[in-house]
Amino acid sequence: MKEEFQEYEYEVIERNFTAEVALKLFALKLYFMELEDAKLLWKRLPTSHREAFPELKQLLLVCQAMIGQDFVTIHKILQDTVWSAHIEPIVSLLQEKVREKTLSLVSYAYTHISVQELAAMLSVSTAKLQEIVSSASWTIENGMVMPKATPQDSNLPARKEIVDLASLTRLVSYLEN
Amino acid sequence: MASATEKFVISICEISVAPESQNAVCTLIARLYDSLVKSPTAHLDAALGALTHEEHSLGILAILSAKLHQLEVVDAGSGKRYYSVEVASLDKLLAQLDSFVRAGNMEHVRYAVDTYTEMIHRMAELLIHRKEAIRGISIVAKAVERIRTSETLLTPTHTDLCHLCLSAKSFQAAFPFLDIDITDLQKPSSQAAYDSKAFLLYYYYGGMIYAVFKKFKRASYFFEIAISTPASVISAIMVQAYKKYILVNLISNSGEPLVPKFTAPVLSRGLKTHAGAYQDLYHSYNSSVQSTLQATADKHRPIFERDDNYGLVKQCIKSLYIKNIKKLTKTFLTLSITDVANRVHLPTSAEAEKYLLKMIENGEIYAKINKKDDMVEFHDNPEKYNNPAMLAFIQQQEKICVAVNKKMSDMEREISVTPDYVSKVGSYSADDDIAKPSTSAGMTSISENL
Repeated sequence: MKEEFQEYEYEVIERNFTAEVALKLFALKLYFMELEDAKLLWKRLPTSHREAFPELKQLLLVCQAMIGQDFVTIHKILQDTVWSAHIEPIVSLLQEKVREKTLSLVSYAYTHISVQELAAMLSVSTAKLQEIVSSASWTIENGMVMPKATPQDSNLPARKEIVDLASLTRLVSYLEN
Repeated sequence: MASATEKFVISICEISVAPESQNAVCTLIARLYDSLVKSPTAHLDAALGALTHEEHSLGILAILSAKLHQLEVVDAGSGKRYYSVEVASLDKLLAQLDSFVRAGNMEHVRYAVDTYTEMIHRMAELLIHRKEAIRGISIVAKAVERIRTSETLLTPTHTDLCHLCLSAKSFQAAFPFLDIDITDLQKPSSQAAYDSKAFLLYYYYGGMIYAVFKKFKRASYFFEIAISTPASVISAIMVQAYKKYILVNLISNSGEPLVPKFTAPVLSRGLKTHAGAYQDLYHSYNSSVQSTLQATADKHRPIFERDDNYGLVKQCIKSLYIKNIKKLTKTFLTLSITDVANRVHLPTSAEAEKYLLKMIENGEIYAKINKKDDMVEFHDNPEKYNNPAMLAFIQQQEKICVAVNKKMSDMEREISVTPDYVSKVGSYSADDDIAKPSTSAGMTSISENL
């Protein structure tokens, strides 16, 4: 998807882009969380493109809601709008990504949050929320979800001490010289 | 082919046969350039067809420069330059320029780097004038990439790239260049110094681009370079950079002083007159009282709007809420969300929760919200500095420090053998009581030549 995204970027720069490409690019920018860039793309779009796909305006509203962290509005627009077939898969992926991001934020920003509030933030039913909560090993008590912070994933492999020692030796020898 | 262009092509082909003929070609171009500008476009296009990129890049450069020169019209009244060109001709010209910057022999072009710079500058001006800046971005990005001899070399073409990106509101192409710290300036082919306007504009535009993407610390660094460039007169670019410097520092709440330490003296003397409203805003912000800041913003609103800075001012107002919430973390361990809202003068507790959430996400505060009791608990930084990510970060910073140190040593060595420095040291050596000038003083004199 990243390659496709870059290809569209190139098309836009080369000025050959159609309204359809603009729509797809806008959705991809939101998916990759390039929100400032998405706003700028909207500013660059000619009126004809904006009129060709009214969904572009909806995506702009999603972008603004994402910047303002208005989770309820994000999901409401994503669900209520009828999306063109060629961006529907991206919109579904975007919604899932927003949910994951929200869950991750909730895990380290809240000790307690009400079931209704979290369900609204994720735009899921309370039954579905219970599934999500139990799969994340969180608990629910008296209508309150108690999230547990998941340790931050590190993409870096565990370092061998010998490597650290070599790097330290290099630094000390540099400082001495 | 008409006689002037025909003569030009024949001469170029004849001279280029000899090895190391670039200086001779440059002299020929200087002699025949005016006649090229006066030649019909069709003849210039025909001449282009007779030259090859590998052997005759300087000739192609001269012809393309002449073609762009022909499109330039100078308004008799205002003296302003503008361009007149038909769509088909522009498409063809852009294709020729694109092909040249991609395939041209840059070893040869570096003999006429001023002509190359001027050609790209004209193209950028033309496209900005026609509101088609986006079409030039990839050409200019390629032009910078190919002409520079090292990644850290700044060329006047960098400035054109940033200008095009700002005009087109498309910035992705600029970041690979802006993210590299500059350590050298491109030497012009003539005896003139590096164009100070291009230098200042690069850092001004670069700061603006970073500000758009909310990378305020980097933006502040760029504006600071523009402000602290040694100068003997105040430049409008420096004044505008100073205004934005104040605003981005307030937004990032970096605690930078009102006037940076190395501000050119001539500029610091004139700041009260030229940027008084911004200094007022700075003092109001530091009072930490939301209503005072709002009142100052309202009072000077026409000035901020005239300068196109009102958007940044609005972000300053929001940033004061963040600064005041951060202050609370130093006093309280737990606080109700309603109290947070009241203390920082936010209208509702929901609004306060949004600010808290954003700040937790950005790592500006370490806190947990408890919606059961409507409280927020503030914590210390949980970083233990014992994980692989932190070690990787420290090693990366260490590499940067080593590279900077090496660069400084190289510069010092370079300056210590310059005739100016050697003669200065010689004049001091007669009197042992007087300290010898350090090479860092030499560096200052070099930067003064900008």
